[in-house]
Amino acid sequence: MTNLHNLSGAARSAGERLRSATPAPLRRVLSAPIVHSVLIVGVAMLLLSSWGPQSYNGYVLQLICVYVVAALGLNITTGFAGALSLGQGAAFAIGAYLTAVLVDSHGWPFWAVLLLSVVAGLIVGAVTGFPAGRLGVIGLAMMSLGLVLVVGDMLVQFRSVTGGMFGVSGIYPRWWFGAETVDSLWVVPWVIAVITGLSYWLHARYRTSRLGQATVAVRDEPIGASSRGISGYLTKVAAFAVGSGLAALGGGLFSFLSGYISPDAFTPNLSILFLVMVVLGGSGSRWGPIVGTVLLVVIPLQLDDYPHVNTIVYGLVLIVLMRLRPRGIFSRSAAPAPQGLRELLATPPVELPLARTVPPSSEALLELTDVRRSFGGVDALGGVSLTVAPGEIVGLIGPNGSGKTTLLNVVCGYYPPTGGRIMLAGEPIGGLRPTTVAGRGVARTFQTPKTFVGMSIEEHLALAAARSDRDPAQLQACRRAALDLLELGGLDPHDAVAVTRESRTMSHGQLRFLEAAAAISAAPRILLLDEPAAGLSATEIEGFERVVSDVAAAGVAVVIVEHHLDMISRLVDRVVVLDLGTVLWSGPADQLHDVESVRTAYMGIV
Amino acid sequence: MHEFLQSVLVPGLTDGAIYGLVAVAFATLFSTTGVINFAHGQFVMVLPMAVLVAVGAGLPVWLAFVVALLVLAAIALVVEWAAIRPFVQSGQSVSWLLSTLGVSVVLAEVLAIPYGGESRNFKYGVSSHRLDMGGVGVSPAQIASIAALLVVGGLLTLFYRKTRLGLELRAIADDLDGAEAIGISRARASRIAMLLAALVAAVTGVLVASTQPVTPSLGLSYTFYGFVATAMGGMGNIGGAMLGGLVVGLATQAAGVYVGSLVVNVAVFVLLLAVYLVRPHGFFGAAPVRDV
Repeated sequence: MTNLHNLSGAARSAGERLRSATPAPLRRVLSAPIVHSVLIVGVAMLLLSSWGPQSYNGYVLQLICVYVVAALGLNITTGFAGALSLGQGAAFAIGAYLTAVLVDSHGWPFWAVLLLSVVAGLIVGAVTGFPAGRLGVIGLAMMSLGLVLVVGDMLVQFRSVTGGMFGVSGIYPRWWFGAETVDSLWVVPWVIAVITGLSYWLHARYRTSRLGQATVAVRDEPIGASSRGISGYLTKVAAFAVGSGLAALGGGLFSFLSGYISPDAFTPNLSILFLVMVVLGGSGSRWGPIVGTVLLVVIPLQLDDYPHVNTIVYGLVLIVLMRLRPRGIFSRSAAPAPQGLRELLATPPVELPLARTVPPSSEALLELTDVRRSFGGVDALGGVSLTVAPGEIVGLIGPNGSGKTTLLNVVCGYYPPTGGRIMLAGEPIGGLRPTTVAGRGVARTFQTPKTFVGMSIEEHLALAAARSDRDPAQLQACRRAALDLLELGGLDPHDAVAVTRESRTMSHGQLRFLEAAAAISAAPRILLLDEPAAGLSATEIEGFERVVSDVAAAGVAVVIVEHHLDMISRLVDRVVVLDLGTVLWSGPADQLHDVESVRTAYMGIV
Repeated sequence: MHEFLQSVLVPGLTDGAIYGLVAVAFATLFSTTGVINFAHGQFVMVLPMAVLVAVGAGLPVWLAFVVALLVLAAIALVVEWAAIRPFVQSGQSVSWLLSTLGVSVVLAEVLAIPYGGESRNFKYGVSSHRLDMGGVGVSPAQIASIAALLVVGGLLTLFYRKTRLGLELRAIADDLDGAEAIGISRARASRIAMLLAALVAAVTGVLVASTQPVTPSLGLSYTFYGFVATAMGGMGNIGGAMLGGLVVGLATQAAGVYVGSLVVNVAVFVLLLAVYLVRPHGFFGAAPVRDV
């Protein structure tokens, strides 16, 4: 078939070759976050025991660990959620001061202050992320920068608590409230190493969790994510909260490591430093923040003899990086997500057409009555009425600007209708939010595929596979259709390495198939396809048609917007012609060419 | 009332004029390139600092100003090439935010080299000696700040409305591909917008240095205050930026006088939060009509 795009042999990168050469069980063990965490703790403690906890090298290593905790947190905010935070230092400072004050003046044990620091950080982060619903990247960046300036002032302002410019000293660990401080020099190093390992584990798990996948999807393509029922707001707030929580935890550790803190340690530059660590290492990647932190602690120390140079270096790193390698050293942002694909592959073939769960004579699934939508003074939709029954394929055609895509957008909830009624299975959906509409079982594809550049094929499918309260036979048919689509697009779902490929490396045609496969695999009640054939070859279109008719035979209603008239006349049960926002004609496809008004408006033949 | 005039309104408006100038420079660069120069606060400090160094090296004052202006222009062109042009109207805000942030780190550190980051008095600006005007003390430097804001804002508005070059810059802002297709160079437009912003920074720098000691580390605060002013007015809107600057100036001055100097940043932060909650696109900006 069409294996033009197939990823075999030479097309693979060195990393992919290495991965496919590793046996599968070993691959699974090696990619498990918990294994990495144990490795991190082990290496840190080995190095520390050879250098000694009080040595200079030992201090540097622990400082790296402390910064890594904060940088991993920032990677959740900035890397996963794409929300640039210039304020990671604020939460770091809050955690450090909370720890210092509670330990020094109130004799709290280390575990309790660290826990409290995390909670404080979560709250600060949630508050910072709270306006995320209304702000873009720049607005959030500025909010967080403002937070750093404010926190810096507050540290001086409340000098009765924070000691003002003099800071707080005497920060030593205890096991219990009011107990003597512990003598062992090994408590702090162990705490730091173990927490670093745990933070790594948490950060990696966050990414592979459902929430983490949703977070990355919203970062890459918020509109595409909303069409899969994922709402963006919560993912941003959560990412800010968890990111700040880790920063505050790092701050608490910093207090124990230093034994003394003052406002000098928490300038706005610290926040910028965290940001550079994450971006240099590769924001959104698993190992990036760690590598970035190591580099940006070790290199400036080597330049310590030249004042100013160490700061200038990290500014220059940012500039050069953005020009030459904006995604950092480790640029892979996709994470493993085998579960979605496993379900899909386990689906046995089905006999089509299905014995319909709803009788074919049943009333319309989607019913539009006099739907209107205007932009300013322009009526993009001037009263459209139309129905689609389960299992029916309706073709929507019309000249450019006739309102086809606007109609889909109004149905999906991207624009509330300015008039009229939209019913889905007897319930009104007009004016609902896109995520809600998607949750009711409306799936769609876009003219330009809205796939997620930083996610792999398997992640796209895992993201779609969440909802399955549909009829099992229908679900099964849809999953088979999704598999067929992937194979048509040359995205072999059986190839364990190819399915981990990020969608940014795929061709336009492959993205179309991936988007459609993901939309269908969730077993929607109605599928809206916006120009699915654009840019596909004749054989690809043929395969696509077959899959769409399979999906319809399983009882899914399909609306297809298309300019490809041959495809329309072969595929659809009924054609609806839109012109200037109203229905011009509606009827069987084979009569389309005989209608004069359609010919004038659309085909330009008189 | 007199107390309010003397310690809040007059200094508030003059500080506000400075923030307004920073905001106008943001708007100038942003409207053409879609980039906000995070290093602009440092740009403001470049001219006075360079003048001080040049005079210290024995140059006559007028020559020192010429040299300083050339230095500023040269820095602006290098920064434009390295950190702004690659991202003109690209929509990738993370990239330019980080690259101009990198510039701000480098510039702040370079500015701290000559005098070890210490504040220095600047004797070559407008006099800050107070004159009595109907019972209220106002210095020529304060008057000059407000006049500068009005003149700069007015000239830029005229420039964008009336000159061919101004129209070309706006064309790039509206539709990059379309403008390039009719022969408007993106590189040239971005270079000119940057030079205009640097010129505004030069004016701002002289005014800042006339009223307070030259402190290299102040750059970041100017960036933040100026941004809040820009955000209030609506990104890329010059009139809005001017007005936003004055509001920020009054707010900071009022907070400083009535509460304490350490809550100034808090006041600006609250202002930013309020703007975003009430009108996320600013008071003169417009939300996009369609986004899908």
